[in-house]
Amino acid sequence: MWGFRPEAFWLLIATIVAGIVPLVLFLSNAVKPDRKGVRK
Amino acid sequence: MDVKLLMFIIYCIIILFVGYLGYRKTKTLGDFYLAGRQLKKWIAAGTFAGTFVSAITFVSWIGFGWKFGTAILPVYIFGCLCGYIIYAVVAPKLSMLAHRNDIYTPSDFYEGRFNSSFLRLWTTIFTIIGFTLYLGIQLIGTGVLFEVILGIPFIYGVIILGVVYTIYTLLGGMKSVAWTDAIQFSLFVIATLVAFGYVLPRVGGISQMNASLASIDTKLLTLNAGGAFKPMWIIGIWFAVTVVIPLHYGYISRAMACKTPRDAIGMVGIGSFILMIFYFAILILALSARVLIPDTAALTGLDKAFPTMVLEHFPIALGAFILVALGAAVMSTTDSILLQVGSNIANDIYKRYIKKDASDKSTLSIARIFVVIFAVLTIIFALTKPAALYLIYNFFIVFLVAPYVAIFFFGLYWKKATKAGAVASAIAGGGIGIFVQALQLAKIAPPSLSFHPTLYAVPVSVILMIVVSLASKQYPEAHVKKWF
Repeated sequence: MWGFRPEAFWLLIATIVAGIVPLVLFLSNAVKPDRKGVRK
Repeated sequence: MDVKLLMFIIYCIIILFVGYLGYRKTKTLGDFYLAGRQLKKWIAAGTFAGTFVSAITFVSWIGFGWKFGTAILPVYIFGCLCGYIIYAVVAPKLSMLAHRNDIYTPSDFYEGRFNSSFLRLWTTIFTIIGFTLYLGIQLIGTGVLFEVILGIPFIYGVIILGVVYTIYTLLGGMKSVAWTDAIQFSLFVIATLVAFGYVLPRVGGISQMNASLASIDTKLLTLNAGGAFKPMWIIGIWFAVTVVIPLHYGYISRAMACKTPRDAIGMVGIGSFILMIFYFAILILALSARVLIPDTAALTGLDKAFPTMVLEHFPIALGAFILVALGAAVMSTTDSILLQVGSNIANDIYKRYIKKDASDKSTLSIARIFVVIFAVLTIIFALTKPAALYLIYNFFIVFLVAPYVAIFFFGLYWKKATKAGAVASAIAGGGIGIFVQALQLAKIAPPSLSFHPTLYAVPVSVILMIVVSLASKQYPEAHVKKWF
């Protein structure tokens, strides 16, 4: 695994996944705040 | 003239010009604080990420990775990425509340949500102290970079950058800051990736790099530096780094400055994705630095690892480009902090307690005056050059996390959170955080208090928030409706 120890390798993978989660939340429109009161 | 210095001067002139363009478009307080709440996701993502990456990342984190190897992963990098997930959830809500209730600063939120002027004062004081430390770190980092790479004495490095970013923050406020951040962000991401691409073949690729590290010291491949860091210490730092992101005044303000809640979550989504790639490059640069400079006794401090690697192992043109990018990383963070402190003092103290009927124009002038005063104070602090940067960074996090966790999250998501609960939790959280930190600094903390101070402050503040809120009088429905 690129010479990393297994625990370091999996933490690296977890880090990469964590970095993608906010983008997925944005693209999937999963977080929908109430838009009441938002001025255009 | 040294090509590195020349490039840096040209860069400063361009940034000052952008600041001037921002000045021409800044007419009101709202423009100065929050760019008129008109930031769209791409620019917002640049300014969010630009603010996030700073001297700490290049000087302190790479230095930490150089000395302690892959321990940098759980201690700092993983915490950041976890923090972005929480920030992605809260950012659209903050944006919506800022528009709905016409609020500018996080202290506006704390006061409005809990109807407590004490909370405004308490949170403002913690923010200002915390940011003094943080800005000090940035300036010290700058000084080290200039000293090692350009051979310019520490004092001049600090003053040159300090003057440039103070001027353009003064000129345009958030409009200048957002635009220059976006430019600076692009610059240092490109420079980091170029440095990554340059250094990786020189250490023989990732597998060979790790094999070299193992031959230097097998502890470098562990997540706890071969037992140097206790698991609870690592968990404490991870927790503090994770929660400091959504709680950070600069990021709350970024979310409030977005045009719509959708732009706010877009800002975090795009920013986090780019930062994730960026941090991978930082990890490799940190580990490569150790392969290229294997002897820890060769450097006087771990903060010098990255600038030394640039100076001794990179070609001059690339070194110059990286220096400019590093300057960009520092400036894009420091300008935001300066802006934040100016806004805090003008909006949360001057207009609130000193001159309640102050016009927008005079409040704007006060904000600008305090930007200068604060800049001068932190330059003086930086010139004292205290401990290694990561130690000051861990201290700074206490100020930004300990008093805020409960009032921020419960304020946003729990309708039953009351003023009494918020005041009790903010006082206890802040008080315990500082108390434990003081014991640790004085080296008189018992072993049971040897973990990161936030691990003690946060549970107590959360329990107090719940217990006291349930025992005290609830807000009328009209008030709750305003915030939910």
